[in-house]
Amino acid sequence: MRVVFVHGACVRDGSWWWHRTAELLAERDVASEAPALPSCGETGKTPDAQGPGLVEDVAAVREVLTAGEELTVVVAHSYGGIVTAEAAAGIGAVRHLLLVSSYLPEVGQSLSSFGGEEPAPFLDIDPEGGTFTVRPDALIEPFLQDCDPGIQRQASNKTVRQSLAILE
Amino acid sequence: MQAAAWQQLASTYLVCAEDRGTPVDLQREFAGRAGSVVELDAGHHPFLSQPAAVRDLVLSL
Repeated sequence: MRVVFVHGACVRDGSWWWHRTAELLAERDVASEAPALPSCGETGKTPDAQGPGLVEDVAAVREVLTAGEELTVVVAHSYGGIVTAEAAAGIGAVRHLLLVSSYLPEVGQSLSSFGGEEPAPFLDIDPEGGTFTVRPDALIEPFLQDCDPGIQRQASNKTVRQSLAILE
Repeated sequence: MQAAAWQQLASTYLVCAEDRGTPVDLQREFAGRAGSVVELDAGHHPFLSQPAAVRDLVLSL
């Protein structure tokens, strides 16, 4: 069995976000992988209003999920649940989806279906540049308040600007 | 969204009850669509704050 971890919005380096659990799973001979998401600028192109967006993220995760026959548990975190909902469809090797504090869209819904009337206060949205991110001063308290200080510090270096095209 | 894998595959939703970024009520609403639900007193990143609990959950699936 292997685990594929799909990270959430506005961050890079899924392997780092998953590393503490990955290490414990490795002790039980379960390997983990974490696909890079193009919308977060992890595959070379700097995100802007034109993308890369959800379509590219789905393709990137699907490529990893179809790469082998090994039984796979997909752990999808937050925005990663939206990517995974589409990427894991119809793949026989996927045995189970574990959705962690995740969005779980129905067919036909997009992330923009879940927004309130006002953007969340922890977001920094740049409509002209076509990107958004988590405000650095608003990362720890909403999202990492129960993590140790070393993790909180490292996490602060793992945020990125993500393409607003994922909302489409 | 073109397809919804969670409608075809076995799924478990981990609700993070101390998450201050994604409201727990919203998580519970989404969790109702999953095959089973587990709740943990953790913030938004339980795989960083409580990795042993997440490992045990993954291994139990």
